[in-house]
Amino acid sequence: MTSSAKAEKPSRGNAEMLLAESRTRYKAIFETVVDGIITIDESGRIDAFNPAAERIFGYTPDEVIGRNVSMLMPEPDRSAHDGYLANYLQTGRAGVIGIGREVTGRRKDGSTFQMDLAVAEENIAGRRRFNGIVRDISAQHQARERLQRFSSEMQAIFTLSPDGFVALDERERVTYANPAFLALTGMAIGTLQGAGEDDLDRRLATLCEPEHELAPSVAMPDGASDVLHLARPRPAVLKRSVRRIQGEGGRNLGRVLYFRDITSEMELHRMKSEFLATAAHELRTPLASIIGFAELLMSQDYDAETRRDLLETIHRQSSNLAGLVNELLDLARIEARAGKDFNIRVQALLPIIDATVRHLMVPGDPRKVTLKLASSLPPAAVDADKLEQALLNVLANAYKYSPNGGAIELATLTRQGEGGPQVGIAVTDHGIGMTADVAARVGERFYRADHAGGIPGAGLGLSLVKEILDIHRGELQIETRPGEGATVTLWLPALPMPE
Amino acid sequence: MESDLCTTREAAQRLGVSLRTVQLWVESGVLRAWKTAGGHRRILVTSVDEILEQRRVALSGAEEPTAAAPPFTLVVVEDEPDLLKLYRLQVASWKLPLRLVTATNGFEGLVRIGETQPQMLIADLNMPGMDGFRMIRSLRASADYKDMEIVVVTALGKAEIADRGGLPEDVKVMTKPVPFSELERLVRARLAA
Repeated sequence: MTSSAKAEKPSRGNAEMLLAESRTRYKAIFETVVDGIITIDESGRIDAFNPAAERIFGYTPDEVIGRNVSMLMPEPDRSAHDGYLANYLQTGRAGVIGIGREVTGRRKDGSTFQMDLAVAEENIAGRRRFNGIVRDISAQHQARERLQRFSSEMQAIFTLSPDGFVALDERERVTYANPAFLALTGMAIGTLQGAGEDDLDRRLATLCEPEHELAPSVAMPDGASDVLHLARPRPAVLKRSVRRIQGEGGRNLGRVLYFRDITSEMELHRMKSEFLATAAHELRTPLASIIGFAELLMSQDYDAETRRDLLETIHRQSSNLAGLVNELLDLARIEARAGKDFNIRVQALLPIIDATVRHLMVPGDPRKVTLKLASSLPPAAVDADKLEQALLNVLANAYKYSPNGGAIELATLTRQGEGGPQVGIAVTDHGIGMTADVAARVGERFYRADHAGGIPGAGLGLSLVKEILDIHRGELQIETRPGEGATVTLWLPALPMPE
Repeated sequence: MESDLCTTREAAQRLGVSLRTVQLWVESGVLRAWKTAGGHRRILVTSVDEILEQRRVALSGAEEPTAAAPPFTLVVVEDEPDLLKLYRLQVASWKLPLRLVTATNGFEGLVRIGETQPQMLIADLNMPGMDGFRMIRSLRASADYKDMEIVVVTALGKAEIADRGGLPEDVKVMTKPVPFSELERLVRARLAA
């Protein structure tokens, strides 16, 4: 009861008590608040410095009280601060006071940091003082800088990436598409930015091959991917993946679409499976004959003539198989060793050509190769054995594909190629020739210019030639027309003539 | 140009095969034909003549003078001449009452099948011209040949067959080298049935 009576009628002692209470409360705040509090007078001298300020600046109150506040700032503010203060006192135009801003502070150890500074002015009995509230924001500042750095790194990565990226916001509108995506699809960023995902889907759909209809990405669940077959702006196969971006607590921030150009992978895959299918067919067909006829010979009593006929078939098919296996192994070895077995050295080509032609024997064909050799030929860096093998294959083809005779000519030439001077060995026959389409494919494994025409072979000869020329950095050139024979030229980089 | 065309029925009579077989040959391109505005097929007479000529050549090769139709006809379609010879010798070694008819591609296969109505077909898949896949699809699309057993003997693996569109489910697939003992068992089972 007495206390309520006291409250109703404040006495002098009561007022003092309230003042003391207010001081205590202020002192508690001053000492425990996390923000630094620094009080200065009109001349800039520090007269209060709280524990938080001690932590922030590394000074004890003893070291700063009575000294100019400019000691807490780096240059140029340090020298200019007295001027700021005088200017304010004179004109009343505030830079910081009552406004607050981000400034740089200086610690006792000389290091600087970013801080938020708010200044309140108090005027007690004509004496003006300024209370500075300081918050160390160097951590936020660093975080912001890291974020800026991170986003410029991301920007650089997206710009340089060969894969396409499209970012969509939470309202499914395009916010970003990187240059690779624009190049893959031929779209312009101007028309894409802000477009809806359904609109993007519609535009992608118009680029797709009609037989491979586009599934809308809107319906794709998170993490899903599919394959797009584009017909425009150039034929391409793209793998499209979708990833949801989530903020804190699973908040939807939109999605990223990722497009990877897998055209060459698909092409390689197709070539590999085509090679396997053909290799299986080419290897199993002679085997089927060999095993089948051998079984017959074991189980049946045939007359001598039939037996001989069957044995001949077995022998012929075994030879085919042996030839095929040898060619396959040669090819595989060259490919796997990438030319490491090649004994390449600079040498004259004429002796190699001469040896090759002398080694050439075509059973049952009396034709000789007509030589049209240059009197002098630049040397080249070659493996003599491998070049001989390539040339033999080309010459054998010339015989094989001119069953009705005609001259087989070998000529040497030189020309200026794209990568420098080249020396060529050209073999010409006057046989069945081939169409341009066929000529374009003869380097492919198992590709046969004449599949049904009864000319034997597995279609590996020119693959081998091409492989050998590749390792010599040479080129295979074929000029031909159906019924008019063919000229196959092996081009090799030429070296300067010896003095 | 009306005289250059004939109806399905006329073609069937001239070729000595059923209407359905003529339809199969037209659908698969063995016979060249057009449809009239009324939807009737009109077949090119020259295309009918070609088949008759092929048959004459085949018969003059003394494959089979025919006569009493044997109880069982087996058609083998295979493009490799050595393998075809192997089929002939192996099938002969079985000493079974059957007639063997051979063809070297899908077109010829369809012609022989239409003419001889075989109980069983053994076919390769990889062949020039019409391959085994197209030939078998044409056959399975026609109701007339649903009872004919089809066996594929191929160098292709399962995956390659699937890559090239696959085969109807009731087609047996065997891998080369040709499993003759298995083929023999199949034929004997059909003969006993």
